[in-house]
Amino acid sequence: MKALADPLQHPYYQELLRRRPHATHVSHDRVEAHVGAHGFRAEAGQLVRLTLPEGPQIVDVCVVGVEDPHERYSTGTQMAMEGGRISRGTRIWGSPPRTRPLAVCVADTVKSSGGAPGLREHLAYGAHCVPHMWVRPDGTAERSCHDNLRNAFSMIGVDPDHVGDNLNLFMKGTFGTSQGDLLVARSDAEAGDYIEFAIEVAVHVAISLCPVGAGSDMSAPEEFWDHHQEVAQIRPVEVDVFEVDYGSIAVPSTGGQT
Amino acid sequence: MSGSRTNPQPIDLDFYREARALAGTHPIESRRQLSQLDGTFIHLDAGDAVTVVLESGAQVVDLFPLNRDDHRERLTHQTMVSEGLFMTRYSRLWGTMPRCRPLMTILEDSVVARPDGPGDAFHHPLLGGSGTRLEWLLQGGAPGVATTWEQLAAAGRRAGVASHHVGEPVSLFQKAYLVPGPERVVRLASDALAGDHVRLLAEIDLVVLIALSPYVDGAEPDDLPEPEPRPVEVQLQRGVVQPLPWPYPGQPALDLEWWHQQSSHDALPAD
Repeated sequence: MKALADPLQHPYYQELLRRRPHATHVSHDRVEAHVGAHGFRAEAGQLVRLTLPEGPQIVDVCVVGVEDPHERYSTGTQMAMEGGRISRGTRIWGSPPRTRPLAVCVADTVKSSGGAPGLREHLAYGAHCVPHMWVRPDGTAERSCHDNLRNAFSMIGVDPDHVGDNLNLFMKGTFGTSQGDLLVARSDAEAGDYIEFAIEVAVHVAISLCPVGAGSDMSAPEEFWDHHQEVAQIRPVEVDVFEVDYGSIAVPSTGGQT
Repeated sequence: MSGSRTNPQPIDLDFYREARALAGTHPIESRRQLSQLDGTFIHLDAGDAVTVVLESGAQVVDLFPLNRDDHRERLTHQTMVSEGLFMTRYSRLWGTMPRCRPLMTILEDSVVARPDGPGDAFHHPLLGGSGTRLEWLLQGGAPGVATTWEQLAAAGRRAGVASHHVGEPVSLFQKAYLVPGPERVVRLASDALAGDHVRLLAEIDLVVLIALSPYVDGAEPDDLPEPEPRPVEVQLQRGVVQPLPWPYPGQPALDLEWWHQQSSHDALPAD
């Protein structure tokens, strides 16, 4: 497949990066561990930064269009267009039929520090935990990312049934070589690390602080799901929205032809 | 770290082995040939089996199952967490929340990956066949060709399925491998041959959307010729086996009342 042009070479993003230090701070929210969920709207042209103030924490993120919530982040499209990694220069793709970038990652401070080959943070395909993964013998379950994401959309008036595909920010993982199994490890993100996105289409965003915290080496998955939540430390995340004065420059769509 | 899956699910292999054996001798009720890029759908009852047979060589067949009575329950990419990226015999295609149960289970997969290809290449990937118009055009495909997603959406409309319920299919017979680093899924020409087949058991009542990929054998050539899809036969077997109950015997059932209360939609139909 022909590669799309690097979005950060687009004149708009060149200008954005030049003006970024002078951006206006629009909002700041701190999502505490006991809350675990946060929903917000971001406009085209704004910048959204997710920061880990106290250390590693996996953040699951759902994105849907404001104009049409059926236009949502699509794992399949993302894998086809960008691959499974998210870092600076990665577009975040919406579902067909529009099939256009919803945002572009413009900053990522996380430094992976080794481990098995291929392991890195920020996955496009890791899905999210659901109550069925945490179900106890009495038929109840701890709060999962699915619950958090639904709650996050509900906070901003978006139908929680729009929870679907999601990003796994700060999650360290890779595909294994046996039938493409998903392998994960503890995140190497540190306090102060952040990832930042430039928004191309007005979106509603739902985020969940994953109950697995920073993640874990999965030497015994059954034990992990049985016991991990008892010991996982869930850390907060900060959400900051910025605006850049672009003058007369319009927000582009960096998705190429449609 | 190990090679274990992050969300392993128990599977009663004895049951599925027996189901596989039963399906191997069960009468075929109907046969339908697909040879056009126009998408189609079939209705399956729980316990039916559908077999996709290649009639004249490799042809990628994209398949997307949904609960026949509640289209919100449909194939989810979360399948990957439990089953891996590539499907094979006894892989299950899982459905969305709130039920999160198997929709279909692969009983038979006759495709053999040639040993001279990339070592990590397998067949039948999830997420590999969205086949959007943008991808097709970037590949150099002709504008007038019906892409996979467009075929599935069209088939869905004919079946009463809203297009926003059409998600990522499983790409039967597609061969692919993952490029380490960017983790991009690279499609390869399928190793499947005429006569190769994949048989799937319906775990619940389903509507299944089916499309022939315009990539035909799944390769990504530099210059895409006008697609000439190869015919496949879809065989239907009724009442092969009574599926296992869900949750599986001995597994805890999750109280879903919270989901019913929060959902803005009508209550889920009774199982």
